[in-house]
Amino acid sequence: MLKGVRRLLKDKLARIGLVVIALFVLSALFAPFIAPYDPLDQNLRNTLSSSSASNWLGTDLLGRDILSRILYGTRVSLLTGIFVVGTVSVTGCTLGSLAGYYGGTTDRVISQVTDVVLTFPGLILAMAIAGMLGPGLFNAMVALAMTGWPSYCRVMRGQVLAVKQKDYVEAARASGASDFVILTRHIVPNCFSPIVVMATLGMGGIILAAAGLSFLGLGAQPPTPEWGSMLSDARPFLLRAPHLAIYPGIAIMLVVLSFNLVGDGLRDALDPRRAEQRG
Amino acid sequence: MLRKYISRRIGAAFATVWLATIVVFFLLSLVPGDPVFLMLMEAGGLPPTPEQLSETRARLGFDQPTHVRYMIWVRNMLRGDFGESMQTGLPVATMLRSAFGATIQLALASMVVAIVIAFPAGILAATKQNTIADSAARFGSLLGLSMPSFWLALLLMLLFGLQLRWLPVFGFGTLRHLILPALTVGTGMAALSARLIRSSMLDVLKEDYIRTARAKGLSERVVIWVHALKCAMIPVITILGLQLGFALGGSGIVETVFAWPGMGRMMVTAIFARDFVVVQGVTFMFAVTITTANTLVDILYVYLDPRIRY
Repeated sequence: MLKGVRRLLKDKLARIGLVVIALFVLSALFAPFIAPYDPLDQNLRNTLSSSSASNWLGTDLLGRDILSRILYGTRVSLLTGIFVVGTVSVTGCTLGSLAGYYGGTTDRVISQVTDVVLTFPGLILAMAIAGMLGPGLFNAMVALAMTGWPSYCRVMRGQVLAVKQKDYVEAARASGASDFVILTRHIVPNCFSPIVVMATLGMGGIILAAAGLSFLGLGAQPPTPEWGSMLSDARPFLLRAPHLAIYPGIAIMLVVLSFNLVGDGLRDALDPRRAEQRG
Repeated sequence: MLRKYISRRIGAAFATVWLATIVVFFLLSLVPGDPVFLMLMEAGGLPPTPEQLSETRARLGFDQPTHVRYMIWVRNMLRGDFGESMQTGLPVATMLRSAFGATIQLALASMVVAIVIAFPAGILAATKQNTIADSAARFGSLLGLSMPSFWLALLLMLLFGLQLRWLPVFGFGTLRHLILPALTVGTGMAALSARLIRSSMLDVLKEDYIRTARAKGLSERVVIWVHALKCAMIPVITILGLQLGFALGGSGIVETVFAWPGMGRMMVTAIFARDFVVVQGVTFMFAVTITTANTLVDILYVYLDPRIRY
């Protein structure tokens, strides 16, 4: 693992990704100190203005400062990502290891449920769930958590199936260790590399999905500063105030791209054979 | 053997669709409060009278126990009856028919865009492995995957619709209306596919018969475009399946931005109108479409790759 980290730091693109993520985390933590204005403060005498000395990225329909709203929006996006990725990776890994370890009926039931969730394309099931629960950031997070776990479950199941055959697991079983000990001490810790990669790429995916739900009006509600809903607010003023439609999108893309770069780098770092092929 | 595999695959597809009906049916139980009350309230704009409420409950089968209601619901769907929209009064099946056409039209056009971009990019990256072209293709595809579709949509509208005035910003009907939404979806798809095409091509280039072809003295162009591509095409069938999933999965957002009258927009409209019967119908239709596509891909695969035997 440590070797993996060192290899990751050699990847130039992954390094850039890490730096950008660090910057976003800092701006989320210190938003109140960095942001020039309160993100909710309206100034109706200065609406839809473009970049200026007082408002670097301009103002929106209610005269709120775009830069401040983007900085505060980092909080919503990162917290959503962490909450959802945390939930789905734990759920998925637990179910996946149970399916892989016990096999038989347990495996059949879990795999069947996984398949069913995957028959609904992309955001569709999350949209349906969020829609039924009613619009709101928390409901959107619940919807993404309910639909995001199957891919983790599948990968974990495959990992456990492979590791289960290893000699040291056989040895542990022969020495009389219980199923629980074998799973948690000997199998799961050896299955984590692909999960770490998936979770890193998953942060990008979930941030994108959550912004999409908010863009549709199913996620964060006004006046919460959130990137997706800021872009949605920009739609009626595309020609008059294009800056409204540009900056929040850049923020989303930068964060997601950074997680993708780091995830991609991690995959190569943790699986040197692949890296050789990729160069 | 082959026939047995195919019939087993089709059987599995039916089982999946059946399980999907259970998921879709229970979606309604996520609604906080009485769904029938909420639907009537939203459709009429006023709280429904007790008579209206009990009449609609009876019509939708809500006076029955849950399992009976499920049976009636499935039986009606088997007959092609998906219920009626509370908002428009139209049968959901009728609405689905036109929306399905629009969604598939957009998906196919996006696939064309994706293939035009992804194939040259993926093949170039594989044949010029570890060069600047390869890195550019890698970074470009990551960029495409990281770009929110709704943002790309707004940028394209801004540039081609409002600044240059070349294309209509939204609407449906002509080829010109199709271009911007197809570019939006196609870019994301191309990013996804170029990576897969590249790695599939890299795998093939390592095979013995490629070395044989080169040793025979064939030109590099023939080796790559004829011998290698033919085998690298097989996983591409999977890519087409994935692309359809991508197009359908993002349809809610893209169709809403461009006012494209497909299933995704139908779903979003129904969600905000609290028209739960329609939401259920569309969600189920999405599952049926994906299951059908996946099954076809699996079956095609067996025909195309003689190495796979079941």
